[in-house]
Amino acid sequence: MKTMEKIEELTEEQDHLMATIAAEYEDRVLSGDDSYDVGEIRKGIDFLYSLADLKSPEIVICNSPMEMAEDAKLQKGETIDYLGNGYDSGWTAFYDFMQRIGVEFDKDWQFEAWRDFVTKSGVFATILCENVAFVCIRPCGVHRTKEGELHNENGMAISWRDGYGDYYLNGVSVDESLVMTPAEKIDPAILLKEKNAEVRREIVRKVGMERIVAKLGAKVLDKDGDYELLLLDLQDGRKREFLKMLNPSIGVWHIEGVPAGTRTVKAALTFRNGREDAPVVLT
Amino acid sequence: MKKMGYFQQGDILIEAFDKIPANTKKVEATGRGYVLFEGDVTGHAHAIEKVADVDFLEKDGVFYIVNKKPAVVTHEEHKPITIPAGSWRVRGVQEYDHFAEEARRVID
Repeated sequence: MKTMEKIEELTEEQDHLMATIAAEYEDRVLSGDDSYDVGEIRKGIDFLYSLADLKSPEIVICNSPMEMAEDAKLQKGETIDYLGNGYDSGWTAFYDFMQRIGVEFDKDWQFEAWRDFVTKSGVFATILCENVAFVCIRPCGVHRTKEGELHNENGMAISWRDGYGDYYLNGVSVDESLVMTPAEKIDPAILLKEKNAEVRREIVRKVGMERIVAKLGAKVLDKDGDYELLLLDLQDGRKREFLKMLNPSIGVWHIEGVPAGTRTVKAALTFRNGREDAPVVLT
Repeated sequence: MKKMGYFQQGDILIEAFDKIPANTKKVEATGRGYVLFEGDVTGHAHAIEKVADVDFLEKDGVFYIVNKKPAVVTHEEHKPITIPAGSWRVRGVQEYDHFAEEARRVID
C-alpha cells in the first residue's frame, strides 16, 4: 500500500503553480477564443449523461447564452445549467493544480473526463435535457479592466458569435446607451432616476461630478470630511437633498437621496445608517 | 462592559447584537463563503469565508453572524473588515427615493 503524506503547507513553487493554473483556466474562457471541438463536446456530454445513467443525447451547439435559452425554450424562472468552462473553471483549476502536484483522486470521480470537458471542448455553459443537450460556445470578445472586471467604454464588454452581448463599465452591467453615448451628450438628470447605486456610480464616473453639480444646480448645504449634503434640482420644479460620498477603499464618488428637509451631513448619515453613532471601522 | 459599536463596509452594517431570535435557520456557505449581500448588477458580494466557528443565520430576511473567532468580511470594492468574536446582525443602509417618495434599502 502506498504511503500518503498530508500537505500542510505549499512551497513557493507550488504557490506559483496554483496562480499559473488559475490564470490558464481564466484565459481559456475569457481570451475571446471561441473555437470549439465537436469530438470533445460529444465525449464530455456523454460523460455527464452517463453519471445520471442517461443515454447519449442529441447535441445542439449554440452561439450565445441567449440563443441557447431560446433554442431550449426556457420558461420564465428557468435557468441554464451552467456546467461548462464559464462557471466551473475556478474549482476545476484548483483540483487540476492538486493533481499536478501529486494528489491522487479516487478513480470513481473520473476527474480527467470532467477536466477535459472544461479545458478542451470550448463549452461555456449548458442546458441539459433528457434527450438533448444545448451547449453554448465561449464568448468571442471580452474586455476587462486590469483587475479583471468586465469593462468597455466603446462597445460590448462581452460578446458572442451571434452578435449578442452585454455592456459593462467597471464590472457594472449598464444599458448600451450609457456606454455608447458620448459623456457630453448624456443628460446628468438620468442619475436622479437610476435606482441602482452601482449604476449611479458609473453615471457619475462617466458624466463627471463637476458636470452633474453644474447641470443640476447643486447647492452645498453642509460638508463634513468626504461627505457633502447637496440640494439638487430634480428638473420637475422640486429641489431635493442628496448625500455625496466617497468610497474610501477605491476613491469613487456615490450619490444617494436623503429625505427632504435634511440639513446636515450628520442627519443624512443618521438616516442612512439608522443610528446616530459613527462606525468603529468604515471601508 | 462598554457597548460594542458597529462595522460598516460600503452599504452594509454589521452591528453587535445580543438577542439572536428563536427559530433562525442556518445558512449554508456557497463557493464564495457566507454571502451577506450580493450586488444585482455586479455580482460583487459582501462575504465571510467559510471557516469553523462561524454560524451564519437567517430569520425573516435578516442575517445574523455568531463567530467564536475573529471573522473577515470581504468585498471586491472595499477593504476587508475583521469583526471580533461575538454575535452580530447584518443590515443594509437606506436611501430616499425622491420620485417614489419612499425610503428603501440601497440596491447595488
